[in-house]
Amino acid sequence: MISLRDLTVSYGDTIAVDGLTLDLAPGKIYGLLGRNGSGKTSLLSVLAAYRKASGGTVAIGGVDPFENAALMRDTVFIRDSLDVSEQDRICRVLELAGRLRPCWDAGYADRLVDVFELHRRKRVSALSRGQRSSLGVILGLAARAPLTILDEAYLGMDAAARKAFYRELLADYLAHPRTIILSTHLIEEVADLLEQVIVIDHGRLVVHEDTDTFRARGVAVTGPAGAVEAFVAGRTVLSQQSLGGVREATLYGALDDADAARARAAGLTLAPVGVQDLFIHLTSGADDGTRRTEALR
Amino acid sequence: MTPRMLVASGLFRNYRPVLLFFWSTMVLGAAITGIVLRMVTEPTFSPWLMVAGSASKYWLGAVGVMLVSTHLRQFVANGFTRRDFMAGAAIFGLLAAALFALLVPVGHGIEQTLLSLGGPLPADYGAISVQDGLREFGYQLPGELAFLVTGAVAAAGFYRFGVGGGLLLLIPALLPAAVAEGLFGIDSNADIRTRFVPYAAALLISLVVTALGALLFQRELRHVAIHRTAG
Repeated sequence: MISLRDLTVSYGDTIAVDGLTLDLAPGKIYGLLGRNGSGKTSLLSVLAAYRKASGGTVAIGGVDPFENAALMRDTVFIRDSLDVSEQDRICRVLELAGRLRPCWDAGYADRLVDVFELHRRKRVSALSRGQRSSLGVILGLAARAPLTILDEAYLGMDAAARKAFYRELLADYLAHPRTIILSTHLIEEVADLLEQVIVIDHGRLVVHEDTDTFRARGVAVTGPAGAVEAFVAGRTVLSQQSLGGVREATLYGALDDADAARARAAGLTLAPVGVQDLFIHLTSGADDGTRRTEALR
Repeated sequence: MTPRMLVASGLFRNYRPVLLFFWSTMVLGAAITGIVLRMVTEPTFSPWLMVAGSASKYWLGAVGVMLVSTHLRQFVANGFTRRDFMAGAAIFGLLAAALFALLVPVGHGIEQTLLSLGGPLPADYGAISVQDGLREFGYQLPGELAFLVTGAVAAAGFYRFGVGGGLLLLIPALLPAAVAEGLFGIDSNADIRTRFVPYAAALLISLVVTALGALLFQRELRHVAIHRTAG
């Protein structure tokens, strides 16, 4: 179990993670969602012991991972900027990881090199942005670390490479279950992979729940403006837009059967909201200038 | 293998090709210099001692910088603690410095042998015996260690505290190298000598200052955040 209690990460006067409390059960794929500057990378850096927390506690299996040899050995953290020597060739990077990583699967790494069509003799400095991401994915997956953290690992990958990444990630997770935390902006693409979503905004936790539960919380209500207005009264409205006499309101909070029936009886149409749309609604500014997440707290 | 030995062996593997290139270049450079000198004059000094004796220290200084700017995050990213990295780097540094300090008198001996093939050694050439070789080693080793530590401490200052803090920490960072250079010297006839104090005192002072530099390095890096870039 990963437990964060009142975790704070700050850089001088800037607070990146602000009193975040969170529990993550092992053996799941988590999606860490947040806008740019929301504190995702700072949070992951603390989890991977790349950085010491400024305040609060972090524990993996009850133990602080910072400078803990066993926990650090069991964690792999792949950042968008690769932590490898730019002058090394791909084969050398993989060879080094193979010597240093206790659970490294060299055969699997070799296969992934072929899947992502990388040239083993190419130097890291000569790789394109997408190829660097592919190398990061290989390092992250072939390490088979019990805690695998991939921070925007897809950057620059073309659609085919991203599809291969998702396919390999899921297949390897099913074959070798472990805790995987994916930080991503391509929410809709990975939504089906995620078992749980964690949404943070301005360093604070907004949502942490099963992906299906999260998905069910967003409902788009469409119909005559008056009927929509009457139906949404007293509910948490994330956004509204009108076209002529028709209005669409996005609600946060699942509707029970009675509510759904009442809506249909009033001539309203109910539609699910995608995870990405829900995320955008939750983390974008409201008309009055406040974050909608404030209303949810 | 323990984590720190894995770090040390990983660093040796990493630098093996560069080491071969470096020492091959040294050998080639000293050989060409020796041949040319022998053709035009009677050399009164050992080109090997002058070139390799200095270059090996500067090279270790550069390795000290690389330890922080490149290898720290490389090893932490592969699951090593900062503590194990620093311990492994210390083993690597000690062995590399000892190896370099050994290669200087060995190279000097080989150079002398090659020069003697072409006839009697020039009268003023700094000939070396086994005992002289041991002395050369004893004078070279503190300098090798000091330059390695200076490079590492200077880089760690910039890595940890940015440009401003790094510049301030340059002063203590440069002390080990400055002290070693100030206390130990090899004159143009390859006579090794100390300045200001006897050898034992010079060795003690240099090793203490170098050890203090290593301690500063440890304090700078023990809780450092692993940055995306070198500094």
